[in-house]
Amino acid sequence: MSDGPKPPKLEDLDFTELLGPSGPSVKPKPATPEVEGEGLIGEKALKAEGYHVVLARERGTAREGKAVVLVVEDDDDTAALAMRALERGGYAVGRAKDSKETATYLQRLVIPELILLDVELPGIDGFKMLSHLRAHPKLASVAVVMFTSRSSREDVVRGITLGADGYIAKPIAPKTLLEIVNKVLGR
Amino acid sequence: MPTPRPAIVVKVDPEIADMVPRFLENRSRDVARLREALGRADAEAVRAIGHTLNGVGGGYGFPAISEFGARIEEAGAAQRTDTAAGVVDELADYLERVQVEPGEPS
Repeated sequence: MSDGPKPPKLEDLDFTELLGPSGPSVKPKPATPEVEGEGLIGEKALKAEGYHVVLARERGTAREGKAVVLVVEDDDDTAALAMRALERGGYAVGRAKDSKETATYLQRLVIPELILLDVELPGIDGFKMLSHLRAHPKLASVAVVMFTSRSSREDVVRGITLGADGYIAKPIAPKTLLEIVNKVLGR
Repeated sequence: MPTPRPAIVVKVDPEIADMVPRFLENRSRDVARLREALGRADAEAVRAIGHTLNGVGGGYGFPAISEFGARIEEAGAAQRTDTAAGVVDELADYLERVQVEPGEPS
């Protein structure tokens, strides 16, 4: 057993406490599974490349100007590739490696327009982070796109049911990733 | 004297070509980490490294690395460390032979 520091608990990193109780009051997103039919975004592009699946609800709520995307990804190479694609697409991009860094980013920096969220992360996994984000009054409306190699139907349904706006199965070409983020943000 | 094995040429997107050397160096480190994990029969560590390989390879234009990763992940999840070790050897061979050229990924 390692004697190193224990992984942070998202419960201990209460976003309300970190960000303060004020801020826009938004209703949590409805848990609406959209697994088939209308609402699929990027599916055609991914299939053309031989990838599995992407699901998303179009939001059309983006602000004018340079939108901010937070990449929550523990693997450096995967994060670097996503950040390169997004930066070249005109986004301001931040990166967090786990739930603790995510909470710190949201507290000290900026609430992004979109969070690209890996599932297998050290400590708190991406699904649990998503459920906490959706329950938070200031963060519930932030677009979240799951970004993971876990692409079983069960995983996809879980992500969408928890309120994800998209579900990207890795690996994915940078160009396609950018197209999907643009689509989710209505750009 | 053994015949040299042929090179495997991979064309990578020029927009990310500058990132590829580091990417490949890290995959060689993954081979070392995998062999360490196999040496201590840590199937979960093998699975996790395979999972990362699976997720990252294709994005850089190396779908073969994703395929190796998926097989390593599957073997690790099933506690089949012997199977994983064979795939790790295949991955190491691939990394020794791969040569990168800028161009349109196939």
